[in-house]
Amino acid sequence: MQIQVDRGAGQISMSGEFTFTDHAPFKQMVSELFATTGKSVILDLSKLDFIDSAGLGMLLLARDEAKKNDRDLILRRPSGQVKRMFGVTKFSTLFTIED
Amino acid sequence: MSNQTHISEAALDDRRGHDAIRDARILIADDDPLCRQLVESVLRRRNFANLEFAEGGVSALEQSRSFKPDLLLLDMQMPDMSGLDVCRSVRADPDLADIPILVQTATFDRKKMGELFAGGASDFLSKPVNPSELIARVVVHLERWNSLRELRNYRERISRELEAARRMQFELLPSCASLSEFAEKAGMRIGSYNRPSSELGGDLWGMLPIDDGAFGMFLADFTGHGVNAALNTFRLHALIHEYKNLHHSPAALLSMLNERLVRLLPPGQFATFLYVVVDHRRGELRFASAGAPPAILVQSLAGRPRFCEGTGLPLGIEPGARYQTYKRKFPEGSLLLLFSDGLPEYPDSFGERIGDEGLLNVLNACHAGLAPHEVIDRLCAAAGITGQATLPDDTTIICIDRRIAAPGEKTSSVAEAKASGSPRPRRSSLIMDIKHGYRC
Repeated sequence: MQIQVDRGAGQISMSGEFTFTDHAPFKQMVSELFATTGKSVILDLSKLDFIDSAGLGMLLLARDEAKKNDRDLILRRPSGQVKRMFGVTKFSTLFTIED
Repeated sequence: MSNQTHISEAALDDRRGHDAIRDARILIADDDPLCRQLVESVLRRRNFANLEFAEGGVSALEQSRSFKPDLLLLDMQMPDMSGLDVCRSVRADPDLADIPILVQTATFDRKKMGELFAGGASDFLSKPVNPSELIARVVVHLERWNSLRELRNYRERISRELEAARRMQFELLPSCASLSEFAEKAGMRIGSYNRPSSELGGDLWGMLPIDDGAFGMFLADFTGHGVNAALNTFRLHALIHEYKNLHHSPAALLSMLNERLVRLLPPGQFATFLYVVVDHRRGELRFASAGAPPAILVQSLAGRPRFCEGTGLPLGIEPGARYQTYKRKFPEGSLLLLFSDGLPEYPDSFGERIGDEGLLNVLNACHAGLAPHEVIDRLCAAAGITGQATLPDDTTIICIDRRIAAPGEKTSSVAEAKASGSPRPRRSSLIMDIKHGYRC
């Protein structure tokens, strides 16, 4: 997975495949993002091609982190397999998802 | 003397290592009695008491086998057998292949030294022996040998325990005998495949008896794999059997399991879960899904495979999550395939995944005469899963087949299968190994 961080906008753009190997870099990016000020933290998933259950688990951890920091976590424009995964797992009911 | 005092102090600094190794067995091989005595006195002064002596090369080799030394001090020039030959022979013995061998030599010929190391010497000591050098090298090599042995013992113990745990986990799965008994009673055939990515996995499946007309089949997949995920499968197995009164009701069972797992699993961990009640009397499936990959259903001999779409939060994330029971027709001639994400998400040698759609295509190409395990074999082959491949994720596949009735029942589908020339092997044998997984 490739990650681009826009601290000013409080946004991470993820591309490629989000799997268990991305645990450490993702965790670090998320904690960096929560260290910024602002209400919303946005994960742009529009270029993410694939997510596995480990990736879903990491999104849950990010959601936890957001709750603790009283921030809104927004998942933006999931598509393809990622969107299907969110449907099957009803993750759409756990997160704010913007199309 | 001042030099010797200095050595003793240096040795005291390393008391701990010394204590741990002073029981070490040391074999001293030298044809010169004076040399043996000198080495002995140096070692005894340092409390090495477990010493044995060999007076030549041949006896050095024999005593290595009987005494099983932790360290061999070997003179190079012995009349009956050279130190180099002893080295080579000791290294060729599997029991002695790793012991430290300190070779004592007066030579500084680089070529000969090279031969010595190539022959298996761990280190060398110059002759005449310098006491501090002797002790220093003996201590270093015994410590190294000790750590090596401890690591090896640890690894052996862990792999024995993992092996035992793996067997326990396999015992959670339905045995081939109970599987074929269930299947026979229900007038169908069931094939299964389960293979963890390492010794222990996070997938679990099972069959739950309900009544003469129906049984339940579940497939669970915990996030991650390895010991952590495996321990969770044991928890889940116990929980499922705790709620026997809910086995006929997929949504209610999932809700209950979710409430329990929410309290057990840390944030970020969950289990996907698919539960299907196979009601063969009514010719119906009732199922609920907690984020599991959708099962694939073929509803007649000529039917096309379709997904049994069902959604639900994976277990263990949100308290109070609601689940829905879905229904599908499951008449004779139908086939149902359950699988964990390890199958569609397996990256083949080109890094490509077969995906859910790819599985549909494979099933579409499977003619009705194929036995369930043959269908499973085709799916694995198409996904690129071979016996040699290392699986990145635990993989489970279950194929429930009503296309051909159980042996003994004569139906038109049996006749059809026979006409198409395909064999109907009944697999009662159980294959179980880490490479190929566990299958019936």
